[in-house]
Amino acid sequence: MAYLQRIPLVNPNDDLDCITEWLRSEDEYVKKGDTIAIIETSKAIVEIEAEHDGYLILLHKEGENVKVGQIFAIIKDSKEEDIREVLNEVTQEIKINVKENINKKESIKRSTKKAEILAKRYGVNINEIASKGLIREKDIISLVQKESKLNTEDLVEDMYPGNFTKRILILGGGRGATLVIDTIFRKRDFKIVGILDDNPNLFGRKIFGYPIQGPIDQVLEMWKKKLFDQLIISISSDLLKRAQIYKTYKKYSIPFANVIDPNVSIHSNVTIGEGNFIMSFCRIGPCSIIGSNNFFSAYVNIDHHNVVKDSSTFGPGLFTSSRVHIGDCVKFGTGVFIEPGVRVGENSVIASGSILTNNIAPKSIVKSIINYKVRKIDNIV
Amino acid sequence: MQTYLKSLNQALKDLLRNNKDVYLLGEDIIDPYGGAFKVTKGLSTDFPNRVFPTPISEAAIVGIATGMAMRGLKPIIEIMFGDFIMLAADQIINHAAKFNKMYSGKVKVPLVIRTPMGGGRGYGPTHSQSLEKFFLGVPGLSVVSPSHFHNPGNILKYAVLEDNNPVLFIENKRLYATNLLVKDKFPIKISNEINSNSYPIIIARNYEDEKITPDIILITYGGMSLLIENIMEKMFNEEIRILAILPSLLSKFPIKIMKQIIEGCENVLIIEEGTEGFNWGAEIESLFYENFGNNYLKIRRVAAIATVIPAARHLENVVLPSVESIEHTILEVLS
Repeated sequence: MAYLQRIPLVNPNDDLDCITEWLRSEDEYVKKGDTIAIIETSKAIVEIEAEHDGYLILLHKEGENVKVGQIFAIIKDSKEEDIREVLNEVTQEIKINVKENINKKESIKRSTKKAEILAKRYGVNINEIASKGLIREKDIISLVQKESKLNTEDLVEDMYPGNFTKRILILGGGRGATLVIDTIFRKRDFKIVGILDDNPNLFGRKIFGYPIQGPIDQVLEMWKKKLFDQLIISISSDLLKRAQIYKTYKKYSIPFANVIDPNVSIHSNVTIGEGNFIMSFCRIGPCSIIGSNNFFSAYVNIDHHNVVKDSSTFGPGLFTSSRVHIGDCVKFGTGVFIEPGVRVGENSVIASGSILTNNIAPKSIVKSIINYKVRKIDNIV
Repeated sequence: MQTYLKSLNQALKDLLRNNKDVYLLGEDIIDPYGGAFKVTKGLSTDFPNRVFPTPISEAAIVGIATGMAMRGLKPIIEIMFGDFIMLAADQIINHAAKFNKMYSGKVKVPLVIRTPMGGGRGYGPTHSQSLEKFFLGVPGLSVVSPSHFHNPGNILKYAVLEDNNPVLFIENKRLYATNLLVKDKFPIKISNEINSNSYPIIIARNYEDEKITPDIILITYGGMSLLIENIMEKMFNEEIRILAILPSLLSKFPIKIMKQIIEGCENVLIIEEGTEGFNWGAEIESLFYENFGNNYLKIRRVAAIATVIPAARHLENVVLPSVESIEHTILEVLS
């Protein structure tokens, strides 16, 4: 059995007392009531008595300041007794004590708090960093910067750590790109490599810190260098361009990514192609088939048994009912409602606020009629 | 190196020497005792006709001094413990602070009420409080509390000679024995001193390059500066960049000039020793939200737990803001 001797509270104004003298030595047998040490408070010199019989272990040297209430000696029943467990029990106290008194040795410390915070923020596993000295802020930052650098081909193998994320290249640098990046931020299963756009005025500009690097025809070159894993098209206004880009790079079998917001709800038995961008609060009802390269704005409801082909864009707040069929390259405005079983032909444009009750032939432009007068009310008393 | 206590004692001595209108009044302030915290030690010996002991009646002391101030003198009074200021609250709030406005500016009340506040010394529930929050928001009253980053003597001189309002001058007990940190002390650098000719606001940082945006801004006053100094040193080793803002005048906060100081930093921590809730920090926090509020601004407050202050030291340390509790909050905000 081991007993703990603490520094008594002698003077309420003191935080620290000084052990001026040990009257007994290490491993010496003491009896309860024996004076073992002399401590000095700010007002008096006090003798400290052993509280138990046993062998004495001294935790401090003469002249050291010890906090009031802190353990300064241990008394054990037998000389051979293993007191490591007791020490473990009071580790916290002893540790603080050791830390403060032995010149603040911090050999256990591997990283600064700032490095830890940054590592957590950027998803870096700080334990996997091989470093001889203290891991500092700049180590984490240089690591993160290295990972996000573009033209370093020999990094390819390093890009596949335990937590596998796909490197995505965004085509189109308009507001659509902002939406795509925002959605990627929300899910974080992609690492953004960069943005390409054909408008030279946009080169060098940044979206959420990611630069627009050059024209879209760089894709092939970058693909050959294995600088990205998947493509996504952010263009929503120019549907023909969207469709054409998709067809072009499908010829080379370059994979496209589905960027889907985490709160999109996709129901049972839904088939989804590739290259689709689906924003928050969309719903894809059961047994629907979604093709490829579609752009769904927020709050789009594709109900059950629908078929959506390729390269269409949907404005916010579009609702389809059951068994709706939508052909290729249809552009929908905001707030469109589609009745059950309606077929919308390819290459059509449906204006905002339209309510589709009948089939729409291909290449149609549909406009909603607002303020349509049904008839005049006569005879109002 | 000058202690907080020495700075105040010297300032009082200078005031008495250079200005015949200055009088000191208070309980037990004459030699040989020299006041409970020895701030007035030696003064009654040098100026026996202008340093007076008083009976134990805080209301009477403030009342007498208010009359002296209205008739052109510059009285400085000492309330032995800040906790006793409540006995004089009627004289301060309903009289001294009102007279200037009540008599349309014809009457001035240049009265300074010095009093020690704060805990950390095991003095228990009735001798450890920080009651300044009850005097904040009283029109016509200046509430001042210099930290050890300030020069308390100079601020006291300004309060006595230049401020025509009654001033509640709060001295934190823990600071008395502390050496003033008026110049840079590695790793702490004094970036700026705003209003340096009146009630200064000290801007200090624990990193080299002034242009770098800090990780967090700490705003505090009075005795909390001791903890801040400790934290700034500790966090320097952790590479966490702290910018500390320490006003000395509590009753007004120049929020507009804070815009350029906090530029780019969205984490703010307000620390005070008084009890949590309906306090100074609440006012500062709402000023920040009203003026610079955006979705990213993250403000937290650390204050004493809303209970009585225990006499037992280890319990007192739990109730009052401590280095550990502030550090914990900083890391929580940044993570």
